[in-house]
Amino acid sequence: MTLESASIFGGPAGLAAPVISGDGWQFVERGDLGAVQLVAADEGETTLSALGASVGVTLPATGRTVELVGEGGRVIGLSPRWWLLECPLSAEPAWVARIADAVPGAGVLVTAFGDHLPWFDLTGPRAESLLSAGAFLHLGGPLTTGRARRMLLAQVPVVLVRLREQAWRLGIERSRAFYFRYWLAAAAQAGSSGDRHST
Amino acid sequence: MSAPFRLPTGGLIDRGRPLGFTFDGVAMTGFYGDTVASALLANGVTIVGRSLKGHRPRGVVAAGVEEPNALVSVEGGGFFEPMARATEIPLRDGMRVRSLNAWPNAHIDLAAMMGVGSALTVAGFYYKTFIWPAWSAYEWIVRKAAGLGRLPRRSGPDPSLHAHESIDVLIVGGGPAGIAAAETLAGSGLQVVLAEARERLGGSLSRQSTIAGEAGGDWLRQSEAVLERSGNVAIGRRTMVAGAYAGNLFVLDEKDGEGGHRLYKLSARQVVLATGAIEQPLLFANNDRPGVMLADAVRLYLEDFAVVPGRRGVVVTNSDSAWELVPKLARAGVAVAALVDSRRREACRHAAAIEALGVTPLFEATVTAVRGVGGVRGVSVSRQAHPAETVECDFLAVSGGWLPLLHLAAHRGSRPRYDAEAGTLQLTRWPDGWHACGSVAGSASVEAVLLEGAAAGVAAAAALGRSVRPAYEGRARPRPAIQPPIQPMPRHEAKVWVDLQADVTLRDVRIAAAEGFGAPEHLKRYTTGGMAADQGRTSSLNLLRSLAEVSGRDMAGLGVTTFRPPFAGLNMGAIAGLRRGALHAPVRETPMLAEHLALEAEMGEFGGWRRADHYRSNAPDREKAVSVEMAAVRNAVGVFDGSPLGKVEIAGPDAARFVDRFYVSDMIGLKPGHIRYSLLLREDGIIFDDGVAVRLSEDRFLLSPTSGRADQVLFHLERWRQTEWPDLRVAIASIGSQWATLALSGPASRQLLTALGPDFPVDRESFPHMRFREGRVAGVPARVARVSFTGELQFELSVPARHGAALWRRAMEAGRDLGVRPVGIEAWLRLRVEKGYIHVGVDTDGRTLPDDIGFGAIARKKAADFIGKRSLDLSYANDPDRDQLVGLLAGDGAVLEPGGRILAAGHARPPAPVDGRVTSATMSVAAGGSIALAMLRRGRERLGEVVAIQQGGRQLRARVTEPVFHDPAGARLRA
Repeated sequence: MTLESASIFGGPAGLAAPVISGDGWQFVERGDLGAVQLVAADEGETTLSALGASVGVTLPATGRTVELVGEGGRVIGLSPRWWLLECPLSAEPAWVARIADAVPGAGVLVTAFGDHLPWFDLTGPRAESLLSAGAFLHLGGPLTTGRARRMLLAQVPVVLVRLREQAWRLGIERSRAFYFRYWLAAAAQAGSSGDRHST
Repeated sequence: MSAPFRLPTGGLIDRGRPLGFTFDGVAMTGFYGDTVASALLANGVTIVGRSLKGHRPRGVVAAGVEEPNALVSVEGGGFFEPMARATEIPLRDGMRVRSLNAWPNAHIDLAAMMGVGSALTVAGFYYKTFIWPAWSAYEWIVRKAAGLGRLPRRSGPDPSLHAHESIDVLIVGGGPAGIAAAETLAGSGLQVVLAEARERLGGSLSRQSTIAGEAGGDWLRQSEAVLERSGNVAIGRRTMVAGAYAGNLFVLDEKDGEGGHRLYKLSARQVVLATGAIEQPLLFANNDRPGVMLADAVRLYLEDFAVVPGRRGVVVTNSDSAWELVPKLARAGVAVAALVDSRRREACRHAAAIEALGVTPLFEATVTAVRGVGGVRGVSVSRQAHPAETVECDFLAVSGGWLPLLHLAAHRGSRPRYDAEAGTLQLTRWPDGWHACGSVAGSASVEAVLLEGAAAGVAAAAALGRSVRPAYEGRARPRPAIQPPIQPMPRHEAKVWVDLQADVTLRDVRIAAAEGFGAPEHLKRYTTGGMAADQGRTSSLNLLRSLAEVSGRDMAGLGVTTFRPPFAGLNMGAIAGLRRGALHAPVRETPMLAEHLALEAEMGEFGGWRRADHYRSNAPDREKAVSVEMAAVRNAVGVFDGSPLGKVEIAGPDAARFVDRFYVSDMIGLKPGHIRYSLLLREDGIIFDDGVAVRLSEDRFLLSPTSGRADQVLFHLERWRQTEWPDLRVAIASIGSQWATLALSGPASRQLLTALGPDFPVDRESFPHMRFREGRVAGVPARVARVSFTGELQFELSVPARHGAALWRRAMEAGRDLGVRPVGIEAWLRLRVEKGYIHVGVDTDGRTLPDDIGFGAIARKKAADFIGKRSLDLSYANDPDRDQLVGLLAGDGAVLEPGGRILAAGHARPPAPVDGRVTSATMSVAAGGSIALAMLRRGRERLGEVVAIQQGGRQLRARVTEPVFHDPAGARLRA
C-alpha cells in the first residue's frame, strides 16, 4: 500500500489550505504546488539554451526575475545559473524528467524540490508590513509585482515572489516552516498596535 | 502635593488632562504633555537620584537624551523601564517613578549617610585595591554595586516589532535645519523620513523667537502642515537614530509614547544630518549640585512645560546663546541675580539689551563654586580685579558652549577633531551621500540654519537625479567673528565633576594622567569618563579640556575618543524584538515531529534541530529509556529519525574531480552506487566535518554532511567553486529537506526494510555494506544507503518529506513483531561511542588532525591534492606528542563523564599537568562498564596504561584501550 502524503500544517494533502490569518492578512499552505530546482554546471550558452527549450521560455539570465511558463508554471531566476520552476505538485516528476532529458552531458542538476521548499501565500493589505518586520524587502531595488528574491526573512531563508500588490508567494524550507508560522503570528500580534512612523 | 514651580499659563502641556504619579512613593501631579523630568521639576523635586560612585545628590540637568543624572525606573501607565532618562519618558497617569542608586530614597540615602564613595572611588581604585588575594574574592560585590537599575525577574511587556525599510532620504533631526530640508523635499516624489528623537519637532528653536519672519511657534505649525500634506515625507517623532552602519544602514528606535518601541532598520540612499548640538556644562566646584542646569534646558522647561527650576537664578556662560535666557526668565517672573560671562564685554552681542532689562552682567568673571548641599543656595563668583563675591540664588543655568552631535557620522568612521577657534569638535569630511546642515555643521544663526537645511535637501535630491526648489532662499547675515571660548579651570579638583554620570572628577583626570593614562582612549577606560549611558554627550569636551590642562598639552593634539553605536542606550526589549523565548533562533523540525510527540518523545535542540532525546513510551526514566533504545538496536531493531542529516548533491562533468578535492579519501575511484566515509579538512588540516559520500552516477554525487554543519559545508563547497575553481563544471544544490530519513538499525533491520516493500533486493549479497540503492519503498520514491553509525546492520531509508510521517508509522507498525523501538539521539550517540565512531565537534576540536583520530594512513595514501593536504606535512601536524583518539575503560565501578581531565603520567591528583580529556562517555553492555572516548597525548603508544582522571572534583582511574569496544571486526554491520 502506497504511503499517504501529509501536509505540513495538517491541511488536506495536495491542496491549498489556510494555515493562519489575522486582520488584514492570510497565510495559506499551497500543498497543490510543487517545485523543481535547476542548477547549471556552467553559464554556457548551450546549457542555457537547452534548459530554456526544455521549459519553454528563455531562462532569466539574472536573479530576481520571474518568467511564466506553460502548464501553470513559473520560472524564478535566483542567480545566473540557478532557477526554480514552480509547478503543480502532480507535474513535478514529469518536469524533472523532461528537463534532465533535454540537457546533455550532465550540464544541469535537476531535482524535485517541492518537499524541500513548500510554497505558501501571504495575502492581504497587511502582508507587506508583516514581511518587512522580518527583513528588508526592497534592499537593492524594488520588489515589484512579478519580481522574486531569495533572502533571509525572520532569520529563515525564503524565496519570495510578489504575485500582486498585496499577494506574496513564499518558498520556505520545510524544516523551518513551523518556526516561520510562529514568527508570523507573533509579528502580527506585536505589530497590531499601529502603523509605521507616527505623524 | 501641588506643583509650585508650574507657571499658571503657557507651555505646550494639556492643562485639561491632569495626571497623577508617584516619585519614591510620594504622590504628585502633572499634565499630559509633561515628561517625567518636567513634572518632577514642577513639583519642586530637586534631588532625583544619587551619583554612581559617591552617592552624591543629583538633580535634573538637561531636557533630552543628553541628561546625565536623572535616571529613574518607571513602571505603570504602560511603561516598564528599569533605567530610563526622566527627560525622555512622557508622563502618564498612574506612573510609579523611583530614583536609582539610593535607599530608601533619593533624599535620604543610607550609602551617602555612611560616606560610601568619594574617598574610595578615585580613578584606578579598583585596579589597585582588589588584587589580593584575588579579584574573584571581590567580584561579586563589585558587580552587585556596579550599574544602575535592577533587572526585573519577570519578562517585560509585549514584544516590540522590528521593521525594515528602504527609503530615498533620511533626515536626522527635526529642528529648523531638518525641517527646512524636509520642506524642500516635500512633494518631490522621493520617499523621505524625518526622524526626531523628541516628542515635538522644533529642536532648540524657541517658539518665542522669530524665524523666517514669523513667530517660532507659528512657523513650526505651518511647516508641520506642509510636511503632513506632502504625501512623501513621513515624520518619526520620538524616533532616535541610534546607529549608522556601512551602506547607509541605520537603526532607529521609535517610541510610541505609551511604553512601546519599534526598532527600524532603515536603508537610506541619501542622508541629511541635522542633529544639532548639545550644550555643555562648565567646570567649577560642586558643579553637580541639584539645581545646576544647562541653560538651554532651563529655556525648554520654561517654554514647553511652563516650569521654572527656581525663583532666583544665576546664568553663567562663555557664549552668547545663554544670554537669550535672561529676558525669558524675567518675563516668567524669575529673578536673575547675576549673569556671569567669562568674556570681555565687547565680545558679548547681547550686552546692551540685557543691561536695558536692569540686569548687570559680570564680564570676565566666572563661577568658582556652588554653595548648598541638596540644592543651590548661592554661587561664588570670581572677577578679575574684584574680590570674590557670593550671589544668592536657588538655581544656576550653565552654558559652556556646544558639542555638535556628530556621533552618527563618527559611527561611519569619520573622525572629529577639536577646533580651537570654535572651541568644540568638528568634522571636515562627511560620509558619502551625507549632507550636514545646521549647528551640527557649525552654523549658529537661525537664518543660516534654514538656508543650509534647504540646500541639503536640494543636494540630496540632486544626488538622486531630482531637481527641487529650496524651501528657503537668500543670504544669511555674516556670522560674527568666532571668539575662542574662555574656560577657566577651577581649583578644588576633587569637587569638580567632569563627567556627572560616571562620577569622574578633575582630580581623577589628574591621577590618570600622572599614572600614564594620558591618551583620551586610556583616560576613558581608566576613569570610565565618557562611558555608560551618557557616552560623553555632556562630558567628552570637558574630559579633553581637563586632560589638556592637567597634562599641559594642546587640546587639538590630543585626539578624541571613538563614538560608537548606539548613540544613546536602547531598550533591551526593543533590541530583542520578537527574538525571545521560542523565537530566539529558528529551530528546525523534521517531518516526523508529530510522530515523536505521539510516542512521548522528550524533545530537545541539537545542532539547530528539534529532535527526540529519548522516548518516554520506552521507559518513563531517561536512563532506562536510553538503555531500552540501545538494547533494541543491539538486539532487534531501532528506528531513528535521521532527517537532519545534510544532503548535498553535486553534478556535472567535473563532479568527481571537484568532490575529490575536499575529502581526504579518494573519491575519483569511488564506483557508482558505492559509499565512502571520509573527512573534510580546513586549509590548515584541521577536521572540519565528516560524513559519507555517495556516487550516484559517473557525474553525480550525494554528500551527507553532519546535521549541525550541513549549511557550513554547503557554503564551503560553494565558496571554493566560485573563488578558486570557477573552471570546474559542477552544480551544487542542497536538498536537505526534500527527503525524510529513517535509520533502521539492528540485526532485524533487513527484515524491517523488507516488510516495508522495497522494489529492489536487500539481501546481503545484493545490497552489501556501504552501497546505495534508488527505487521505491512502500510505493513511493526512495533512496536507501547501507551505512552504519551504531556498529549494527543499518539502512538509511529516505523518502520524499511529505511521506515521512507515514513511513515512520508504517515502520513502527511493521516492526512490532521484530521488537522495534523508536530511538532518540542520546541512545544513538552512545551507541556510536561503543563503536568508537567520532562525533565531529565533540570528540574533535579546533586542533584535531586526521592522524589524531586514526585517519592518517588514509590521508597519506591519497596522492591527489585535497584541501588541507599540505598542512599535514608541517611540523606541528607530525609532532609525536599530539593528542590521539583512544578508548577508556573505567576501573573500580567508576562512571566516566565527558570533560574529565586526564592527568599526566605519575600524577594521581591535581595540581598536575594534563595529558588529555574525556570527549564522550557511556555505560556499555558490550564492554561491561563505563567507557569513554578520549584525546590523549601519545595515546596510541599508551594502550593498557592506567591513567588518573580528574572529573567533577573527584579522581578516577581508567585503562587506556583501543577506541572500538563493540564488534571490532565489523561483522555485525556487514551482516
